[in-house]
Amino acid sequence: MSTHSPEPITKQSELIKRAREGDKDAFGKIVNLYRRMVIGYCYRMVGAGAEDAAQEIFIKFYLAIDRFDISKPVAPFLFRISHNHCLDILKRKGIRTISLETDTMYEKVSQHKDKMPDPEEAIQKAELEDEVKHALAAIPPIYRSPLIMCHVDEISYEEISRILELPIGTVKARIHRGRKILQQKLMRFVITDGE
Amino acid sequence: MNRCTDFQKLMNRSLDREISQGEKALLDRHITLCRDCAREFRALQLGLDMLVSMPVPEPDAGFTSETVKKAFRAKKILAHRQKVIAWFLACLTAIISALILASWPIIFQPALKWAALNFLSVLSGLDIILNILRKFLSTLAAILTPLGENALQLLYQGTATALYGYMIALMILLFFTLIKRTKPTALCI
Repeated sequence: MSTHSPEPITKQSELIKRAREGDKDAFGKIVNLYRRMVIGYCYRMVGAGAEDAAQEIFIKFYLAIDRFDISKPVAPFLFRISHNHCLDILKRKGIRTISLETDTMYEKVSQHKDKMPDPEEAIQKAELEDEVKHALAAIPPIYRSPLIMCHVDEISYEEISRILELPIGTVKARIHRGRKILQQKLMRFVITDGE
Repeated sequence: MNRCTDFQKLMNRSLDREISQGEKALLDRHITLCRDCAREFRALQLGLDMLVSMPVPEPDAGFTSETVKKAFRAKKILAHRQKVIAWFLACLTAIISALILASWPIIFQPALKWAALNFLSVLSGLDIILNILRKFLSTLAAILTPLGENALQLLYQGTATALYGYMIALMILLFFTLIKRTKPTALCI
């Protein structure tokens, strides 16, 4: 399911105009509209510290708001900032893989396990989630980013190509490569599950 | 299309929704027959499904208000920094222009000009540079002498005038830039 804001562009333009003039409420509304999308992307890209990363992304967005073309949708512009910022974070950390959630994050994320009626099913689901997180962490960021945009946020290849300023062929190749790595990491799990 | 590698490409095209009904039927049939491809397709679908449905932690209650506060503060700091840089550059240009203007009479009096250069050469390290410069100018003079002394004088004055013109243009540009950047906005309130 797409996580793009359902708000029409006219309403977005109005909010951005007001935000440019210093209206904090207007900018707050923009943050509320897109925070789930940005945090979701950051969590899948950098893991722990996704909230801080998302905050920095919105700050960068606000600093660039004067040169943003209000006739265009906000989401692609936010994705562009998010992509560059997450790559910077990973480069600064000097790692190609993401760290798993901290204890606090684990507690937040795992809360749903307590609601599962079948404890054994809950454990299996949790193990699978961990396995997917490990697999995702193993995908290089330049493949992971378009993979997330394509499958989680349902952005078209053309749009991803514009966001990342890459040819469509390169975008497709990176997504296919990301899928391949994800598939290879989970093969063992699937075989084990089938036995 | 017989090899598993071909069907792996078809799997990708299926996920890209770039597959025809006929190709889909072929892929479905192959998956029922080939255990390895079935596992790979299952692993891929599972991974992507889990990626999409991965639970994302909810942000703290104060996320939006904190973000707005920090964003506005950052913009204020940036605007202030730009103002400081603009003023600094304007003052620097004004000082350099004033020095050049003050030295205007010197360039038309050769004796004073060379006296100024000799004074500068007293500062250590500049002797070598000025010797090289003198040799260059001598060579240049030797080349230009057939054209007459006037040509050399014109070249020298032309360069000095161009430099003055550049400095004045830069000052005007900085002045207008500064006016634009320091315009009061709601952000500074």
